[in-house]
Amino acid sequence: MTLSYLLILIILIPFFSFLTSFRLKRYPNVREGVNIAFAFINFILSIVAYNKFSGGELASFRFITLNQPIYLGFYAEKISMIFALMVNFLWIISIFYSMGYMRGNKEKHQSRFFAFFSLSICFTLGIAFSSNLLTTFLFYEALTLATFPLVAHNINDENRSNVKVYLGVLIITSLILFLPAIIGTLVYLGSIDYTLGGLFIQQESTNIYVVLSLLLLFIFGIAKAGVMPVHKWLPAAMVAPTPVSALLHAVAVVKSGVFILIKIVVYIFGIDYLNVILQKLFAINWILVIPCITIILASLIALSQDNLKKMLAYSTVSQLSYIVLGVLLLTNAGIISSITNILAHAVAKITLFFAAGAIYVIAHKTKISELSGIGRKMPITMTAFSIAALSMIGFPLTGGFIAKWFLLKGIWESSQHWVLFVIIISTVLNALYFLPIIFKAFFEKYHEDEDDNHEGDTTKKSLHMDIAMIASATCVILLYIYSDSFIKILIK
Amino acid sequence: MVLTSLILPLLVISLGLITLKSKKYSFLFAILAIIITIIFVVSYTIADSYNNIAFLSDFIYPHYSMVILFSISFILGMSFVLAQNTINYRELGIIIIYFAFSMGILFSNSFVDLIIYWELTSLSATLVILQSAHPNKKYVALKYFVIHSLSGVMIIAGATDFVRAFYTDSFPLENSLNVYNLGNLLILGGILINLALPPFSSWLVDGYSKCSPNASIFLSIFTTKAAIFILFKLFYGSDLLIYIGIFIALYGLIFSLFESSLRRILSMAIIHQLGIMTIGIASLKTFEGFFIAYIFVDVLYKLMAFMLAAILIKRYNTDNIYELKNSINLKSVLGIALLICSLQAVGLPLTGGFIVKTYISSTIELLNEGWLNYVVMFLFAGVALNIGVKIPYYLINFKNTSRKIILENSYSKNITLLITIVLLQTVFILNGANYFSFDYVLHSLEITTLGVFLFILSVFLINTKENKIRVKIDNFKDLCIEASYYTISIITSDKPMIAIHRYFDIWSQRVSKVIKVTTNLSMRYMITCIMIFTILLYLALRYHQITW
Repeated sequence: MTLSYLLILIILIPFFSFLTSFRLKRYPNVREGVNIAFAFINFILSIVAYNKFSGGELASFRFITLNQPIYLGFYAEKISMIFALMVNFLWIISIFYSMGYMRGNKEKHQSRFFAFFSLSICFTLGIAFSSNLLTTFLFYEALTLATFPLVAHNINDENRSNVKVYLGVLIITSLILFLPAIIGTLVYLGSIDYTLGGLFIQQESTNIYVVLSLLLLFIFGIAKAGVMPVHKWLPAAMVAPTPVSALLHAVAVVKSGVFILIKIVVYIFGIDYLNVILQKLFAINWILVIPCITIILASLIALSQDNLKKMLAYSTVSQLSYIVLGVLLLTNAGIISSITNILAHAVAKITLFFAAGAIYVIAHKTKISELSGIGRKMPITMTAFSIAALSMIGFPLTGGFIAKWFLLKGIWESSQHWVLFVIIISTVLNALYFLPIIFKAFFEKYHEDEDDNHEGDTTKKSLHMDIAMIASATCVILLYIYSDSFIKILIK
Repeated sequence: MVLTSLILPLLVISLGLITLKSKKYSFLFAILAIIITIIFVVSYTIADSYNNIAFLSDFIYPHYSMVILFSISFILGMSFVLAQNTINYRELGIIIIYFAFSMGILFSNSFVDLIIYWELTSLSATLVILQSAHPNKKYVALKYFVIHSLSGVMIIAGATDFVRAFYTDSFPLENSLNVYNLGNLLILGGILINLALPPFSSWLVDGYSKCSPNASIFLSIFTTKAAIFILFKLFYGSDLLIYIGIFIALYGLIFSLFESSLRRILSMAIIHQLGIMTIGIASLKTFEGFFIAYIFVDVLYKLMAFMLAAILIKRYNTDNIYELKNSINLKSVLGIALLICSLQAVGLPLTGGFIVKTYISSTIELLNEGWLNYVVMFLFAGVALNIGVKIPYYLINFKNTSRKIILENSYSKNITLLITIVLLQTVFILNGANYFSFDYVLHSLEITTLGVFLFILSVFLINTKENKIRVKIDNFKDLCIEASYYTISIITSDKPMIAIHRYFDIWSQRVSKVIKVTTNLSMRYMITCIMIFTILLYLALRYHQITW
């Protein structure tokens, strides 16, 4: 099978999974089995595709061509191959986890949940392989709509406004800012294809201010990248069940946002071109101020949160801006750091959310102040949480360290030295909001609740979740050990 | 490769100690850790056969001497701890990991290795502190880890610049790093935070005084001494370090005067010594081995002092030196050990401290900066004041007239203390001839007199019993914490205006309170400052007449 058909198959398999989930409504075991089987097949297919791609095979596929620049199309390229591998791998883990969570929590509408879970994976993979801005945009909107039933899973009068914020911010920013930016690019350059080295370099005389305003439109228009002030949807989406939060904040939604931003900077603007343009305008790269403010402010807000999931959400906002910062540094090391950070943050944050969910299902606790001594009761969960938290801080022997190393190297390469201090301060803040939770969990006494009647079958309930957490926490460390292999590919 | 042969077995042992519940096996495991370290030392000596003559007599190979120093102090500390009746084996397990990782810092030859072991050491030390029974342990541990993660990320930031510039991350072999460069300055800052550079020094004082007494023996050795070794390796001969060293040392000296807790005084004395070592590093023009002798003597007598502190805290259940007054009999093993410890700190002739002190002051004299000699003399007098005079003055009961020497009830405690004394003396015995001259003896006597004089001055001027100074410092600390808290709450709250109003109310109240306390104390400060100034003036005049 050629690589082009393989790509289509990788995108379609989650869609089959979406269809079958509804069909197998009455047989939950079969439904989840089929889901896992599909996820596994997809993971293997993406490994095969990855091998074919690194063997030098090229692929592109286009259909529904309206006229020359406007069409739907897919193609293979190294960042998207790595992204697809990550998405498929975490899909398997999160299905496993969701089984434990949804059954343990006795949630309703489980078929709908699993169906739309698969559908969002399908659209994420569509974003990964899309070959022009139009395809990306369509899948971007589709992803927003596909995750809507997931976010609104437990909708009631209290959290209705949150769901509205989620949908409103994402849709409005994409229609007001993202779409005009795409149209602007099309009008200005006559093409919206991702091209190696950038599209703008082909234009002989360019207006600096047009380029700059297009860049700003893209940064704020892709609200999924979570740059302040368009980050509001992210904490609002915390009303969803935890596996969904894990999917939104680690794999599908936020990562596709920053992934699109990386592709736009690298393949539409071009790093060298943007460097020249920005150096013409100002000595200090003022665009970096946007992610830097987000990094510091989001960390400060996370520091003041007592709700564990909200704290993790603001931590995500902060970490996403690391990725945006890495891209906007416009150096090779910066881009490498962004891609490494996508992987490292995905694996670590999914572990953190899994842990938060497991604590909710088994101990019925959502607040940080209630977590005293939980580590004694749930050692596996909290150990996984600790490993992931250390990765967030950028501790050596975790994936976060590699990302931080390349980010700092990128800062030196771009000679924007003031950003160093932002990273240093933010590392300290990260340590300040993660460490107290770990200390509380392991070094305080556990307070038994009066209404805690779920003692009996805790081990049985948490088996699926434990396996998922062990797998993802191991990946945090494996990412450090095998970091050489994918960084070599990226440097090429 | 050499390192993994030590770290892996120690990791296995510590895992055993943490998980095992049986006391019998835990004890055997702990003994095994000592044996493995001994085997490591012996095999390391045989493997580097040309090094083994260097130890203690010449200190030619700094790296080798440092490894031996760490191993010896670990073995001494372990044998001391195992002599107790009740041992916290979980804590001991983590201490073993902590030792193994800090050895990693000594063996690291590249920045990546350094960062890995640096962070792992700080993490394991945090876990050691968390094993204590102190009610504030979580706060102390958080402070410890957060400040060390700041240090770690600063080193990463500097190291990435080094890698970008030289395409390698291994340490420069030929010469030290240039300080006047942002990247190297960040590395220096990261190392200095680990050396308790004020205002980042509270992790040391709080950490070492609020962990369990046994743990403080180990904590006092490894983190700071490994950092000073790295500083020595990377930045010897940088003139910037002179000023930083003076700042650190003066901070340690001044704040040790206001402390009344035994372990806090010792921690401040560590900071003070680290400052002097930093000045020493600045004065060395090469990667000179004998500097390790200074660290060697300092580590061993501090180790002994912390062992004594552990015994006293366990026996009397208090940390305050006024409550511990006259608690040690002069004619007991403890009394002798404390006396030797103080003589080493003072640096009187016939002690190891004398040798290393004259060595450092003679290298500083070579810098030809006249004022620095007086400052260093004053700082040495500060060491004499704290450990040399203050602690023995309060703790030892000089009135006892019995002829028998009282031994400790545990055999291995006696042996440990005696071995430490002997090791301290070997430095003198093997090197005494090179440094023994009339001028140096005179110098050391002068330092001692100055130290005694300073002590008398401090007793009259600073009344630590009433703890007024502590009140002021605590007020200031609270102020800072609250200021940062309210700043954060203004940023993050939904109604910022209300938060700002509340903030200003509380701020004005706090400031007026602090001003009241300060006005009471300021007269005393004035008098102290005038007296110190007089002493310095005397020294200056004295040095202009006689130079040696």
